[in-house]
Amino acid sequence: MRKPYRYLILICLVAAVTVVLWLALHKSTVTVKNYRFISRTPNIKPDYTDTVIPPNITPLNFVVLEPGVEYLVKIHSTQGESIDVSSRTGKIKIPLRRWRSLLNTNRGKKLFFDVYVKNKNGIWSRHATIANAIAKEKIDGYLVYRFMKPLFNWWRDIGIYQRNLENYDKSVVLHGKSFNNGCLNCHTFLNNRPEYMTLGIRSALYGSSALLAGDGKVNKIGTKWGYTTWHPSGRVAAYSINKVRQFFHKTTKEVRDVVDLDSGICYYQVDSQKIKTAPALSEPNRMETYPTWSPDGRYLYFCSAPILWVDRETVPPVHFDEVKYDLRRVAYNIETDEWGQAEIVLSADETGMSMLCPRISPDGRFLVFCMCEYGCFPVYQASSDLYLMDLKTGKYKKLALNSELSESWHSFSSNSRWLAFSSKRRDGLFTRIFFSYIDENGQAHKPFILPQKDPAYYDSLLRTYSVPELITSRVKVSKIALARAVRTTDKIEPDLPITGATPSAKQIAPWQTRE
Amino acid sequence: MRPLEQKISWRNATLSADSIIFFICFYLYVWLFIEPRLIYHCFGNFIAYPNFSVDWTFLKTCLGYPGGLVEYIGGFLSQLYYFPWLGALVATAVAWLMYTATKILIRPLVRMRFKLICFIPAVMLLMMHNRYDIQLTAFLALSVVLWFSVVYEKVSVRNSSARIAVFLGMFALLYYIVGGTSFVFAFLAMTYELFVGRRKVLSVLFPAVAIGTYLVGKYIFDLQIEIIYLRLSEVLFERDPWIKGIVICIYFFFPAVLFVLGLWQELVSKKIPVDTFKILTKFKSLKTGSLRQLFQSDKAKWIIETALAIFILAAGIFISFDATKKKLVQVDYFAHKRRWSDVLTRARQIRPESCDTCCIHDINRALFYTGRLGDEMFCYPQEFNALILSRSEFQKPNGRIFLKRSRLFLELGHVGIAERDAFEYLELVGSTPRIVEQLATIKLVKSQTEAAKVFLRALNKDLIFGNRGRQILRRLEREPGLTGDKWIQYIRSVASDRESVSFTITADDFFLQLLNKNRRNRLAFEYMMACYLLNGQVDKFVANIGLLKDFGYKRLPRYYEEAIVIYMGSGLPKMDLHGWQPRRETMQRAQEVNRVFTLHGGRQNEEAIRAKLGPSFADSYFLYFIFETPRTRQ
Repeated sequence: MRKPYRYLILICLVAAVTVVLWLALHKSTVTVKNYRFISRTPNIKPDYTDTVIPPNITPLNFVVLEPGVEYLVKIHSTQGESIDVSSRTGKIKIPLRRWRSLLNTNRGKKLFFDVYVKNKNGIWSRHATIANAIAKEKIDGYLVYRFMKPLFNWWRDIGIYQRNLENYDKSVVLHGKSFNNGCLNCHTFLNNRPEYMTLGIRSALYGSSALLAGDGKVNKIGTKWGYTTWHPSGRVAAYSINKVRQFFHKTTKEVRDVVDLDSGICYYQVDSQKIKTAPALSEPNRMETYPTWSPDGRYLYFCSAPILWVDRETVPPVHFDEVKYDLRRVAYNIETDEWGQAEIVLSADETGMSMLCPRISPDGRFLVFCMCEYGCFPVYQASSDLYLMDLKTGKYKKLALNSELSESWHSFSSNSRWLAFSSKRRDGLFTRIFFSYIDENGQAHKPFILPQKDPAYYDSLLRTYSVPELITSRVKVSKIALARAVRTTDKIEPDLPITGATPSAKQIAPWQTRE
Repeated sequence: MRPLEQKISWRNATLSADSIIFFICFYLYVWLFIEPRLIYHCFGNFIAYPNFSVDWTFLKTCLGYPGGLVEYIGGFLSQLYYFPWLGALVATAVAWLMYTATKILIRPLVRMRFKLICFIPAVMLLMMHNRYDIQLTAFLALSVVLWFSVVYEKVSVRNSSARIAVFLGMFALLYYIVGGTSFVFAFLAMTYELFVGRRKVLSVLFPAVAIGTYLVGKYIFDLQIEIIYLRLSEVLFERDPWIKGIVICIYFFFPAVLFVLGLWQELVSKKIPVDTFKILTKFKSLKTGSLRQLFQSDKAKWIIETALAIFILAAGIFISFDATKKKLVQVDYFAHKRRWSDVLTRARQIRPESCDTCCIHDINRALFYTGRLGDEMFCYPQEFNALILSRSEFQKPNGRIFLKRSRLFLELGHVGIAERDAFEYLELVGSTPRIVEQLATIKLVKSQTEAAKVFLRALNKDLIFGNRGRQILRRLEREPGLTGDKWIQYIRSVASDRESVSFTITADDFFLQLLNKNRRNRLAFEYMMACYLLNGQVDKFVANIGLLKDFGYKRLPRYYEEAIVIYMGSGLPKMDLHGWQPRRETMQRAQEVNRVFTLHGGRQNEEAIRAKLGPSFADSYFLYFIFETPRTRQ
């Protein structure tokens, strides 16, 4: 090649690189001097208005839903520099570092979004300011959740994921593909800490089992665990065994429904590797489920309903839509391994509803639970709402965070101030995760959706988020170790209890078999 | 052996006359005979759906794992099969890339003209198309590997350490681009170093790197073998032995061929053992006299080679072409497009024993929509489960059946069941545009507009049907309830509103619920009657004959008449026929069947009875009732 051509090519290359770099790095500095004022707040999506947000949350990127050709958002608070974000599409992506700095310096204060929109004629307008509040208390740094498509009978793609709430990082805790497209559920942590975790596994190839991770190792327990709760000491895990069956409605908006034909609660002693139950946890003609420990470890709260059918095989059983669960508790002494008598905390007769999924704030003050028209599976019930009981007074109330559609699967942060929960409020089909600030008086503030880098992410997402669990840091055990534990043949085979079990739930009862 | 520095003629490698003819034929064959739109139709129905979305998130996801880039490109190119000429062009381009790379790669190894070998990958790709599968991503990955190998050979570095560095860099890059297929590159590089570069250490080292990568993948990153090696083709799950065989062959083809050619050349150029020498001498002795002259003539060589190439192509087509599969795909395609007459035309060309459940299901739908179900359904093969695909849930999950059920049930008015089946498909097959639109329609019928919008926005990201999603979204903005949409309004008018949670449902309840909601639900009525006919329940059939007048029937359809005659002759209690009477000739035909049946001693002599009655009775309901209802078979 002749030299002049070489120079020409070189010049072109340099020019091209310069243009690309300029386009990549150049940020137009939009300044708005003249504008007309619009007295209403702008429509934005997701709805990040009038809410309370944690000081460590990742930027709340959003889309301005006002017609325009250019957008400018000024984010500011009492102290610190404001953040200006401009966009031609309405998508507002907030820079992470400056956002963090702004939130950190303004804890307990207000956060404002001033939204400017330029129309086709080049005229800017400014909407009334959107105000949010920054809480003083942080939210736990990680969220663990189940991520999948809306499932009916068959599954192929179920995973448990963790998300860093201080940025947008997401990673797999365990995916069903690592054990022959198996199913996994009921991830449970000890005191919001990632070191100790249990996970339910169902696999045609590797059987049903529970994984118990802790002290840097993973054990496979050869029994099927349902809803699980760790005793605060970490020495005992209580779990339900459910003979759960799915069936389908024909005309309702939510086609799916679930019934427990029978259920009971057992507990696993970590040191002795024994599984036991107690009379109060497995009454003859009742179904016990959704256990949760009080933070002091002295009580196990759970839900209990009478079995309204004789035939425990037919699906759905008769009167399935009349089953309503009480909220109960039973005293426990971990030192002597002794159980007390079950006592009713809140009766279904009193509420006329079914109470499910009790969870107690780590400070021991509040108990949040679901109430729905009937049954045991609130996520499929549009009527399911979250209620809060003040354990000091025993009074309960419907939380202000509810919508017309299903709210369920809630969990507290380790400081008791944040509640993560699943809700179908956006479209009635796909569950998304929301967070709400619960103040010291038990008042829930307007919730906000789990922020995503792409603010339009949820608009076309055909997957559901469910069972959000807040934990203080990243899950310690690797997905490789968990997957290997599922596939291994080495497992702990504790004897299932026979003492104190209900007549229908003796060792031969179907829900006690190792499916 | 040719020296390393020898330049190859690019023009010679790519534009030889025989290759031009070959690839023109290839293109025309794929475009006009295979019909790439049928392959596009197979995606998500007969074969795995190649995921692709015009979305940055999807691209970022693909770029996040080894092999993702080629999957992204393969997914994109597969979408182009929607346009027949473009799909054919894609196939031809991939085939040509493999052909050219193969030609360049074998040149340093052989003096003899082994040009024909270069056509084999293209023929394999064509054979794949003949089975209505493409595995485009796998072929594309192999093309990338081959061209990396070409580049590796052309690298002028002599020093072993430098070549190791070049290899490792290329291998790592290739692993990122094509995933497990990069192992082929290691073995190609090994062959090159062994026979051309003569660096024996490298020829041992390179496969060791590939094996080491496998060991690291398996034991450190806990990857399963199919993910490490065959993620691109998912060939392990393939049911068609041809497809499985072709994919496995193509993976092993290049290393094996290059190794054998290199070895062959070694044997020829070195001292050859006596026996082998004799064989070679014999072989060479053929090239004497006139034959030798003939072989040395360029024109003759060209003719022979071209003829052989055409012969290979023809043989590949002949052996691998699955005519029945093409017809089955066409029936499915026409049913999807609601071209009912074409469904029946094509179905008549399929042998009865080759009709699968889905094909029979489509035939019945086509007969209904052309107003011929009651007159012609037994002219085609029938199977009780095919009508509403009722037993599929007890069989192995099959996405294609779930999709068909969902469509039929939505049209019938069982919206809840249609939704359930659509979600089963979504989980098993993936978010194909067909199912995403189906779910959006279901949600619109159920007035769950916000949920419908989620599906429509997902559809919006589809390369081919994105515009459809945008159109419906725009329409929803103007008209939130879609009150002007005739199809949505029709489904709402027939949709069952009787809540039920039964785990199993009888055929009676299934259809009567729909007819109770809307007595003009013709599809429900005719399917109910067809169901009774298929099940041999002539009593139930006759009990519902009065409903015919609701649908404006002017005459009794043929099989309805025959069923009434059977009932009349069954000795069951007399029922009101609501003024319908079978014709005299139908009664006479029934008597004839009865006579022959009695004469031959009953059901055990089926063949004799059928033979005696002849073809005019072959498609009668009489014979189906006697020999083929589920009860009879029991």
